[in-house]
Amino acid sequence: MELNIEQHDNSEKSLLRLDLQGRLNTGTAPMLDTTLQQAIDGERQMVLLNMAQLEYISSAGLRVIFKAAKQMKAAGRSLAVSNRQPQVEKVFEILQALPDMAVFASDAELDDYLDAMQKKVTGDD
Amino acid sequence: MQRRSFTTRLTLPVIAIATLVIGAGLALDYQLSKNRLLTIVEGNARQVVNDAAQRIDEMSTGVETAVRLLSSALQSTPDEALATRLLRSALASNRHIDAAAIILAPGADSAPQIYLQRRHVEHADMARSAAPTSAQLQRWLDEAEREGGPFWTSAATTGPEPRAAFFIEPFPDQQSTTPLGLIVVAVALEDLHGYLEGLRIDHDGFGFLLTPTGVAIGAPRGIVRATDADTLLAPLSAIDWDRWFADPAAPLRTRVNCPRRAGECDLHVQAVQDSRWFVGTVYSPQALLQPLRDYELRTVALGVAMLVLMAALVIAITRHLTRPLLSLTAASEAIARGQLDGELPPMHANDELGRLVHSFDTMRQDLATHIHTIEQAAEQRSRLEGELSAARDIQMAMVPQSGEAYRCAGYALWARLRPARAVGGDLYSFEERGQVLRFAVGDVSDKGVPAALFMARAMGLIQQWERDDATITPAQALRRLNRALVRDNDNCMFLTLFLGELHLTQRTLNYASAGHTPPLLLRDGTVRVLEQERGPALGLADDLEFPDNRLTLASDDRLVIYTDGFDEAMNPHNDTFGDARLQQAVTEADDLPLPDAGAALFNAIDEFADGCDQADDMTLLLLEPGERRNRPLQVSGTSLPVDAMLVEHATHWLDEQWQVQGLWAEGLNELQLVQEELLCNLRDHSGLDASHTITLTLQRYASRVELECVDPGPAFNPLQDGTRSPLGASIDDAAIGGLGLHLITRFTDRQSYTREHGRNILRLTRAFPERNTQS
Repeated sequence: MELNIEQHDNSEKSLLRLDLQGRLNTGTAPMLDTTLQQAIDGERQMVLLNMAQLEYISSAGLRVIFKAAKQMKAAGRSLAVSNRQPQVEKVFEILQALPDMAVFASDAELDDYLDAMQKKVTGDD
Repeated sequence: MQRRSFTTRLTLPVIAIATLVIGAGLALDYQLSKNRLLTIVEGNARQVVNDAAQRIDEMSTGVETAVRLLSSALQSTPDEALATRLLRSALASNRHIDAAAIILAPGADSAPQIYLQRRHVEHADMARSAAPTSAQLQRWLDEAEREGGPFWTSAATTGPEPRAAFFIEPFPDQQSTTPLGLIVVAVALEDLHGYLEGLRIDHDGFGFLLTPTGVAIGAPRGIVRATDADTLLAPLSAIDWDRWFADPAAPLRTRVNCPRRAGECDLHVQAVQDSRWFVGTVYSPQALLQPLRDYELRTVALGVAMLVLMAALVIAITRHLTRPLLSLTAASEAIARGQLDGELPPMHANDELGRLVHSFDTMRQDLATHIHTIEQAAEQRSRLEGELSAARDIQMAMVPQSGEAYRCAGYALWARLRPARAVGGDLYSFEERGQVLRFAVGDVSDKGVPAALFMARAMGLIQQWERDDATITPAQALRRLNRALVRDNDNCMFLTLFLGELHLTQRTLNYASAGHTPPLLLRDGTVRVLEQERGPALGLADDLEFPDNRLTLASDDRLVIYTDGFDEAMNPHNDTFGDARLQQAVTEADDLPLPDAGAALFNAIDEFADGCDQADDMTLLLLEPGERRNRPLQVSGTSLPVDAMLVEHATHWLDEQWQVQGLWAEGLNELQLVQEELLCNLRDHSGLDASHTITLTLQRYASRVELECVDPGPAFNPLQDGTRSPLGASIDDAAIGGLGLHLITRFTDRQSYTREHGRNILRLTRAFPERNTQS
């Protein structure tokens, strides 16, 4: 089983959502890396990795995600993950790998966050 | 530094306090004395002036009285005889009068006539000066007329400087008011010197007189002069004498220059009582206060001297008192450096310090004695330990494989002997002869050297049986052993012993026990105590009988033979390990390979003991008649080239085999992760390429699954040599492969690495999530 990535661009929320489906391992990590580099070159304020259908993740995959998170943060933007399945979450936890990332357990949580950010931005304006 | 500091700490405060006390005392005394001294000094000065004034008054009054008497005697123009007589009597009546003269006023056509008498012939000058010129005479007459009576003057007849003061009184004609002439008496200025000296208050100042007519007589520079006040005092200060004479009742006080040195002096003029004379003094207030200043100096000098003396005394006393303390300090420092043979300072006094030195000396001697004793004991002990260590080596050399044995040849046997002390009385032994394995586990009563010696004796006899090809059952062997051990056993040492004889092909076990704890039998995951008929312990009585026991073992049975050091192990709460815990530990180790199981049992005891010393010797012998229980239930293997597709192929293979072996589905994901991390590391960092292959093996055991990876790369133990990246740190800093290692250790239960035949062998074991869910 390989990795499928679907991109959903939401310019209104300045959010690029990548739906990951399948296995993120040493074989498929380069593919995600390419996709993420394109996303970083884009203009969206937040890139979200939706892991609802991600069954497997290895350290090679995590490495790609970390790299992207670091780049996004340096650019003043953010990389977030959501909907991690238990086995994926476990790997994240073992490697204590969330320093530069936002994590959302569900889409609702994400929406709340985005709404809050939106209000903050318009409020400041 | 320490020494000095103690003395200093004692000396300084004492000196400081003494300084304060003495200083305060002297200051108070000075303050009180100063006022009193000032009063005295001022009183003295006043008294000096008053006394002088008194005497001057007497002198002037005397002179004037004498002249007045002379005047009253001259009623008409005297003849020479009368004049001479009168003048002589005047000279005789007053010793101050140096010369006296009667001068008749000149007529219209005649020169003045002078009658003169002198006290001393040598006063020729005086006589001359007493003979006035006509002009002088006329001035005196005019002056007398102006004054309307007698007056004092200093005018000299000749010479620039008068040497006498003159008192001049006109005597009148009885018929007219025109004076007939003048009576002149001269008082030698030198005679006045004594009076002036009386007016002098200090060496720098001087005294002077002021006559009613303004003549000033004084000796500012040691020579008496009679002149007008302005002339006399001109160098000192300009004083408006006319103004003062206008109202001489008020004493004159003013500041003038000191006559003989720089600085300011006081000038003080006051009227002589009941007289028209005035006395003046010029004096230096500084000089007046000189006694006070002397007193100050004396006080300070005395204070300093007292302080120096006292400081010297304090330091001397302190040194004297602290000398023993300093020697004691030096001695204790020497002792601290380990020099225990140094003598302490002699102390004869029976004070605290004396007692301290005495007790310190006692302590030093005791310490030296103790250290000597300890050194001897340590030496003795190290010798004994050396001997015991050699004894231990010898004893361990008696048992197979020196105390920890493992043999795996169709059957598996593992044994370990752990004495409580250097040597002990436990024993194990085994010997394989053809298809027969004979083995023994025993325990001599007591511990330590006596037990070890008895054990050595028994050991020889046991091994003799084990190597005997004749058919001797364990029970017969026990009987023989007993007979041998009973002989010359006056100490009544005894031995419990388990002897076993396993026929490897039929797996039949003959065994006999001489008072030994029954072994445990682990079969099908449960433990039971081996049934046995047993005889008494060996060595106590002759001609004992021992029953033979017989049992057929299953191929996956495990026999656990132990000495009472196991079940009687104690923890800090004085609980014994006991049979129940031992059986549980044996059950829990069921899955483990034999050496691991043995080690696990020892660990269980050590954990239970929780640091308590091992009370008794411990021996454990594990025996498995077949090899089957060590074999996996199912094995799958594959060889893959180290190429780009390595991980993908391996993943695919593991997916398949996991299904084939019917392993629990939830475990696959994590084992896949483990395998991927392992292979990525291998692919990227071992230096292997597509020309090399690695071998993967998946083995299912009763309750665990084992993944084995064998690679031909250079020796590398990832479990020890691999760098683990610190977790939670930035990903950029993580070492290569460092993260994967965390995942491998977290997702497997046991990891072991060996290097065999130029290959790295890594075995990763994962227990089934629930015991016995897989069969």
